[in-house]
Amino acid sequence: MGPEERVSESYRGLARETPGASLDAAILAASRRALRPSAARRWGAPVSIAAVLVLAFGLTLEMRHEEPGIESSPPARPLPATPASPPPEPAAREPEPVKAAPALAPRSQAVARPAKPVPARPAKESKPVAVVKDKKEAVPPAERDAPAAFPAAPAAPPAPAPQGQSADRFAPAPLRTEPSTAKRPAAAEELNVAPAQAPRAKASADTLQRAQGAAVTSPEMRDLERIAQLRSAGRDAEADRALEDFRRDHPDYRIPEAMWERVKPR
Amino acid sequence: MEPSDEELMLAYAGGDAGAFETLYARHKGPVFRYVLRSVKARGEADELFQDVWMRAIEARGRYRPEAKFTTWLYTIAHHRLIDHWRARGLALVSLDDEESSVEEPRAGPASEPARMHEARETARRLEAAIAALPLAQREAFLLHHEGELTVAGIAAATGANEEAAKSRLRYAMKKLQEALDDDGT
Repeated sequence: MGPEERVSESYRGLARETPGASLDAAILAASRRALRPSAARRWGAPVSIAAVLVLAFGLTLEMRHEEPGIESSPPARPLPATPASPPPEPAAREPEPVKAAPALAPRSQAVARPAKPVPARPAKESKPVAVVKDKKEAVPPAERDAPAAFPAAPAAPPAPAPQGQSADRFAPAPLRTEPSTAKRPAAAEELNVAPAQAPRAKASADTLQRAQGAAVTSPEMRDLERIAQLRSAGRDAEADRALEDFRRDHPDYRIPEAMWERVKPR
Repeated sequence: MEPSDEELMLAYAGGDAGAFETLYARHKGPVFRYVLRSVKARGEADELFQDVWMRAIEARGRYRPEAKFTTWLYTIAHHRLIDHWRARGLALVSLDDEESSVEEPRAGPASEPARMHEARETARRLEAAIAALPLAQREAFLLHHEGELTVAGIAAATGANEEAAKSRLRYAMKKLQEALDDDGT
């Protein structure tokens, strides 16, 4: 055995001290504790998720509160139909729509229900839209109740004014300004009116309202309407000349009373 | 085949608590004796020993398997001892010129009767001789015999170059041999 080996051998003969059991336990516990996620790490993710959920829920609630305002225009479309719904609808203040679509009440009621939260505001704006919608939606009932209301007009040019009962039923609604403009192109298309005449029809909404009905698309009525416009503009001389021309061109045309009142010489 | 120290340490860093228990069971004795024979007081040794392992636990994420685990662990232990000695106003003496500063083994074991060759008595003398070694030499000897570190490992753990580590170990062995020879002859 060499000297170094002797030392090593002697050293191995020394007491083999070891740490106490409590020290072992403390260190091993610390080693396990170190592997456990800290409270911040453990709760960080759940708390973050909860915060996001709460935020999303809050935003959703907030948006639901704002919903009526945001959607005021889309649901407002059917709103004018609310007049048709009998008693408590705020839009029932307007007499015209009430007259206009009595037969549409059931359907329009259902559509108008979402518009309740915004009763007054959309009244003006929604009028035209509502009429258009009413027309669309009312087509089946209208056809059922008065199927000849529109088709009949071109078929009977001499009596274009809405004098019949079925015409009366639709007259009030078209008399309003926007609806007439909205309806105009459709009517023109139906009657194969030249496209160039459509813009002229837009010239005066008021005039066009009065000329509502299928008759308004007839050439005679358009001429008369032009004369009426001249008359209302105070250009009586021109109106007189145009009226004479009209009589010359259409000697046997019977001018409706209402139109005659507007175009007669003054 | 048992996993290596490095594999166990990586497993522990990856969250395997059992790997640390195995690792601790393997090395707790040598590390404890390294510390105990360095400071010579059981209470201090307990505290230092716990600190060494706590530092190893905290540093688990920084462990890289390129380093041998025992070298890494004893480096931690060495640094903890340095702190301990500094706190007491002590410092490792340079070992390049330590020959002059080598303490003579304490009297006692050497003065025992020549015929007392019992292993227990020899061990006691050796223990005394180790305690009488300069800090750097004693550390080199303990790292070699307890930590089973090579000269290169001792150099790495103590931050010294290999020549210095080799020199420290050689001087320590020489003195211990002399102590044993003196008593044995």
